[in-house]
Amino acid sequence: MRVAVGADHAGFNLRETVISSIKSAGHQVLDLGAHSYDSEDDYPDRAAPVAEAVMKGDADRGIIVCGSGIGAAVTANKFRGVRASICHDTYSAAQGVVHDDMNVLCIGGRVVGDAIATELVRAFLSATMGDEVRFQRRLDKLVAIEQANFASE
Amino acid sequence: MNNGQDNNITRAAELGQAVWLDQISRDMIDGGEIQALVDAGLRGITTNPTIFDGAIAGSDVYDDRLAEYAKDGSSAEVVFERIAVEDVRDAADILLPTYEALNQRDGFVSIEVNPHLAHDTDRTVAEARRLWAAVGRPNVMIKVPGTPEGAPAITTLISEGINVNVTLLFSLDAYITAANAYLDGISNYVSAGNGSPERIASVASFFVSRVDTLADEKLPDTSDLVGKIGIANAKLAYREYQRIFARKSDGNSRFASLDTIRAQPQRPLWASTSVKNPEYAPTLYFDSLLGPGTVNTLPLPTVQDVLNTGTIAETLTSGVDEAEAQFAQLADEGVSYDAVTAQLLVEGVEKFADSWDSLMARIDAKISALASVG
Repeated sequence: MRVAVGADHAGFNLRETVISSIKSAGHQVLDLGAHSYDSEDDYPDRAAPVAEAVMKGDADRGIIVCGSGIGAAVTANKFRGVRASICHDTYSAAQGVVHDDMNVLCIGGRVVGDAIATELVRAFLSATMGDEVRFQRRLDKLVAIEQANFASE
Repeated sequence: MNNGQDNNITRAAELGQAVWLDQISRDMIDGGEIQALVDAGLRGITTNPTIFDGAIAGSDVYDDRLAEYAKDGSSAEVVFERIAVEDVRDAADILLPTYEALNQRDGFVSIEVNPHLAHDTDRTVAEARRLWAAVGRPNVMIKVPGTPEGAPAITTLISEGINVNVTLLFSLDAYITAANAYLDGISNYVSAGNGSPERIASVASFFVSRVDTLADEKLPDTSDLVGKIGIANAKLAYREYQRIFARKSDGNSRFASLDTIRAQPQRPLWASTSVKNPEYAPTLYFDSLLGPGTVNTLPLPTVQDVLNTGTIAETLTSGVDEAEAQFAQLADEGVSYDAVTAQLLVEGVEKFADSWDSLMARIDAKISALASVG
C-alpha cells in the first residue's frame, strides 16, 4: 500500500517514528511534510494534503499527526471519501478499518509516545475491511450522506 | 392533522393510509366542499382529463372564464390549461397547511400531462416542466403515465425536483419499473450535489377495479376468482413496495441509504377504487387495501361511503400467499395476466386520450356558443 503521511509542529516529534513503522510493515510512504519544524504551522495545512491524496487515490491510506489528533481528524473528514479517526488504542486502530473502512489514522503527538505510535501504525495497516453485509450497508448510508451534504466535484 | 376529528378517514390516516379525492370542480373549491373534506382529514386530490370533462360539462361556473380566455382566439387546449392550472393551484392552496403540517409528505394535488404524449418521453418531460412552473406550488404532483416511454421521464423529472404521480400502473413489472425510475431520479438529484432530497415526493398509482372488470370478463362465471384478481394484484404490488422501500435491508440497501438522508418512499396509490360491479360492497376497494405508507384516491360518493360504512384494519399484508395462489389459478383457468395488464394499459391511455378529445370538443362548443350569445 501507499501511505500518505503528514504532521504539524505538535506532531513533528512522531513523524520519523510513523514513517519508519510504515516502511518496516512493508509499505510505501508518500511524505507530505512538514519537512522541517515550524512552530507556527497550522494543522489544516498539514492534514489537507494527506486527505486529498486519499480522496484522489494517490494514496491508499493516510496517517496524520498533530497535538491531540483532533484537528487532523476534523480536517480530513471534510474530504469526500475520507474516513478519518483518532485511535490511541490498537483495538480501535484495526477495528475502525474492519467495520468502518477507516482510511486515515490520526494520532496525537502530545498524547502517545513512540512505542504506542508504532503499534497503532502496525494495527491500522494490517487490517482490511470485513466483507459482512452490515458493514457495506452502513458504508452505503455514509456515502449517501456524503453525497447529500458535500458539494460535488 | 386529525383536526380533532374521529372518522374513518382519520382512522385510516392513523394506520398510515391517506385518503385523497379523485375529483375536482370549481364549485367544490369555491363552495367550501374541498375545505370541509380537508377538515375531515382528506390529504390530497387527483385530477385527470375525464374529471375535468365532467366538471366542465356538468356546470356553467366555467363559462365566464371560458369566454374570457378564448377572447384572444386561444385554442381549446390553451384555454383548458389555464382553467386546469387555476383549479389545481387553488386546490393546492387549500391543502397547503396540510402539506406543511405533514412535513411536505402529503397534501398534494395532481395534474395530468396531455395523454396524447403517453408514448413520447421528451414531450412528456417538456409538458410536465411547463405545468409544474405554471401551477407554481410545492404541493403539486405531475401525472406521468407508467408506459415504457414514461419511465425515463419520471427519472428526469424527479432528478429536477418535480413531484411525480405515476399513473396507469396495472402490472407488477410496470410498478417495479416506476419505483426504480423514481429511485434513479432521487439518486441523480443527490449525486448532482443538490443536497437532501427530502422535499421530493412521488406516488405510484396502481389501478385496481379495472383489473377486476377485465379479468372477470375473461373468467368463467362460475370461477371463484371473480372479483378477486384486482385486490390480489394490489397485495402483491404492496409486497414489492415493502421490499423496494425497506428502510433496513440486509441485501439491497438502496433505499436504506436514501432514507438516511431523508428521501421519501414513493407511496403506492390505489386508484380506480370505486366499485363498478353493483354486487360488491361500495367500499370493497378501500377496506381491502389498507396498509401503512399508502394512498387511496376515491371519488366523492365513495368518500361518503367510507365515512359512513368503511372498516379500518390493516388488510394489505394479510392473504398475500392466497393472492399468489390466485395468480397461479388464474393461469390455470386460461387467463393470461400479462395479456390482461397489457390490454388495460393500452385501453387506459386510449381512454384518457378520448376524454381529452371530448373535453377539447366540449370546450370548443362552449366557446362558440358563448361567443354567439355575447
